[in-house]
Amino acid sequence: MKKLTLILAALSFAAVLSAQVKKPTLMIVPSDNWCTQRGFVENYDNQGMTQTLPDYNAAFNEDQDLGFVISKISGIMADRGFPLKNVYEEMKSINTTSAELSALQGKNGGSVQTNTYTEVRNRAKADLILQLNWKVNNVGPKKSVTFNLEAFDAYSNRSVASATGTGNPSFSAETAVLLEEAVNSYMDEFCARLQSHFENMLEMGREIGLDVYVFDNDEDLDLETEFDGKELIDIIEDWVADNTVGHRYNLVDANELQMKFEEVHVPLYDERGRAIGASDVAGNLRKYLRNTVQLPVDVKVLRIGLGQARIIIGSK
Amino acid sequence: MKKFLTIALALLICISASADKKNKKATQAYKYEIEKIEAGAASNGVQAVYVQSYMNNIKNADQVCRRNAVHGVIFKGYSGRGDYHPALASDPTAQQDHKEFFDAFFADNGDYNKYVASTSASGPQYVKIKKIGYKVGLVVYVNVAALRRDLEKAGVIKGMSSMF
Repeated sequence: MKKLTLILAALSFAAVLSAQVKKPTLMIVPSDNWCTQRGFVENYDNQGMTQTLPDYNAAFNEDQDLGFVISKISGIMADRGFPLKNVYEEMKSINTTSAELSALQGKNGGSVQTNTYTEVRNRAKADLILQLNWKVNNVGPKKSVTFNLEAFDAYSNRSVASATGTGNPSFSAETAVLLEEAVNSYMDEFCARLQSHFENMLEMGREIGLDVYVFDNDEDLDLETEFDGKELIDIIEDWVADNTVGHRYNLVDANELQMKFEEVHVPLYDERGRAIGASDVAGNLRKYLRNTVQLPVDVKVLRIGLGQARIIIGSK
Repeated sequence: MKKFLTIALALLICISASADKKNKKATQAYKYEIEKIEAGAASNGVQAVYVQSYMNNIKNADQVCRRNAVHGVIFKGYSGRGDYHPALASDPTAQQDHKEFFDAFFADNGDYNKYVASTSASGPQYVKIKKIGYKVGLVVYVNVAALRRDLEKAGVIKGMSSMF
């Protein structure tokens, strides 16, 4: 009897563990606008086009208030059970890797273009990016702070929660004090909105986007080609419908050469607890097309970002 | 038969009146308005709120205001100048769902007192209102962070991480 009770207890414990869902990871960064306003930007050559991106290194090293505000917000979020990823630590680790890469490049004589902005986002693999912005307003001798904190889903780039407002003007308070007041004033509302986003995400899944393209191929295959009496376009749509949470997706464009899916709701995590991104879903569709449908041409998956992937049929 | 019906009707009216009185008493217990005030920087999770409580007599007015302040933070939410602080209990039925817990929590000298950091030094301000009784205002400093933490631990409100 005692043995049976022990087995039952162990089984129920395992069931509880498997029912738990991994917490989303949050990372806070100064907003692009904040960095631009203060000149913390760097330019990159992106295939001939000059791209301006935030320079987080300069921002953290040169702005005195940024570290203070981020640590204040981090404290509040940790108290709510969501410790924030430390963007400064991520950057330091990236900078070490970049230095190692530069040494290697020196030996080989080659050059690789990297930028901290893209790397910090890719490496941190945060589910949500919290973008922080504030502005100090001076009206005569009075000073006030306009504060804005906005959370973006790293997968869909959609804004999911925000808190914004201007604090009380003050004659004597220092900027740091005004910022502290602003954080205390707006974090409750922000957290409540974030909580409602989490509830929504658990129920409806994560949103990703998926594009399917057909390139010229030797088999003259396109999305209207039939397999077992069914057009490829319908086969793909059926697969997407079967592999989304509540069959929720939006097919915004479809013709014989391309399909564009938006708002594809996929489960948050796979059976091993790993976050499911757009490239994982695209990979599964690729396997299905190759193994089950047995397409006679190659299928390639391109990862555009955490929440966007492209499947190319007829190219390798 | 007619006599019996009259007695039954009288009894029914009595019971209904008594229930109504009880309900009215319960409502009166939490009849208040709450707003955030800027009384220095709210640090370490302590927020200053101004509570205006309605009551028949001013006996224990200070205690009623303190209790209403904590009640407001948990179930009503409050706003300041452009900022809003939602109720800690996102579920509107939380008080009913955990009636036993909250009855004990808000009882005289209940645990709610632990979360009142202090009140304004000048004490409550009274305004006499015809037919209602009194409107009593008091600035109460509530340790919202500790209150949230303890209620989440007790499982009576949902925390941000409770679903994961």
